[in-house]
Amino acid sequence: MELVIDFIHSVRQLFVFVFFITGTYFLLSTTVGLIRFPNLYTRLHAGSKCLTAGGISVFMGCIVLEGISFVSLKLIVIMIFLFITNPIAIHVFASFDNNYNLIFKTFTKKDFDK
Amino acid sequence: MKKKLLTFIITLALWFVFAGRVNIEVFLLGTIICSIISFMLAEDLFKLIQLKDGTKDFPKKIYYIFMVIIAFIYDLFLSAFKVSKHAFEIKPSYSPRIVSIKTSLIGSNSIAILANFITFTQGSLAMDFDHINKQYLIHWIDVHSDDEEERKKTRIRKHHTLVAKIVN
Repeated sequence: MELVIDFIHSVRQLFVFVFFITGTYFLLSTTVGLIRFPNLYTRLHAGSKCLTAGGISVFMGCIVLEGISFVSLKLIVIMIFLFITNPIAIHVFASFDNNYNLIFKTFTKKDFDK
Repeated sequence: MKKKLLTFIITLALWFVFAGRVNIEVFLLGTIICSIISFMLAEDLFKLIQLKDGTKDFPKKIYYIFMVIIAFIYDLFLSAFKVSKHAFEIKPSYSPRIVSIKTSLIGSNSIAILANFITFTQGSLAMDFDHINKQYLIHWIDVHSDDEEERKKTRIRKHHTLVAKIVN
């Protein structure tokens, strides 16, 4: 019985580590992308996808670590809020810049409207 | 009345989750606050939810909702991995492109859900929505050829079909 409990505990720890490492990678890539990408839109790509994927991975790690409790439920609610609010915020940034041309766009040759 | 009761139950459940414990004080305070919220916002809240064909075929839609969520999470991680690869490249190989895609969606909910999909998946970003011509203006981070662009547009149309089955 103890062996089974130890095995479950080890698997749980493994999942937590995998989620945390994935989350750290995505969050680090968000930061690097925001610094390295050349213009506003490409930076928004890093700010939307990598940030959300990193956030979800870290939250999932916390949920697995915490088990079934009120804290896990809170984390799930926060995760849903992140899912809804992040793309809206990114869309507002992009839409505002597209309509008002506040920041100069560095278009490449392949950028065009179809 | 049914709408107010449903709003009250959902907000009270959320209240208990955030409070982190269940006792009489939390319940009393939650009841007062949630009843005020449900009386004030129930009508507006249900105006925002526009499920296709009402709620009569809701169990059938659960399958589609599940499919949408799975597709959403899978594409999100795939797309995040691609963008993060570009971020760490020594010589970045991305080629940004701005394109527009027409849509047949009518309701504001479905347009917003599809915009969220576009922002999170396959290296695309919903820049703007033209309400007159009913088209999205999309920024893609790595489209190297016209064929690739068509392929990506086809994948967006797949999401479009899934979203159209759930909401108006």
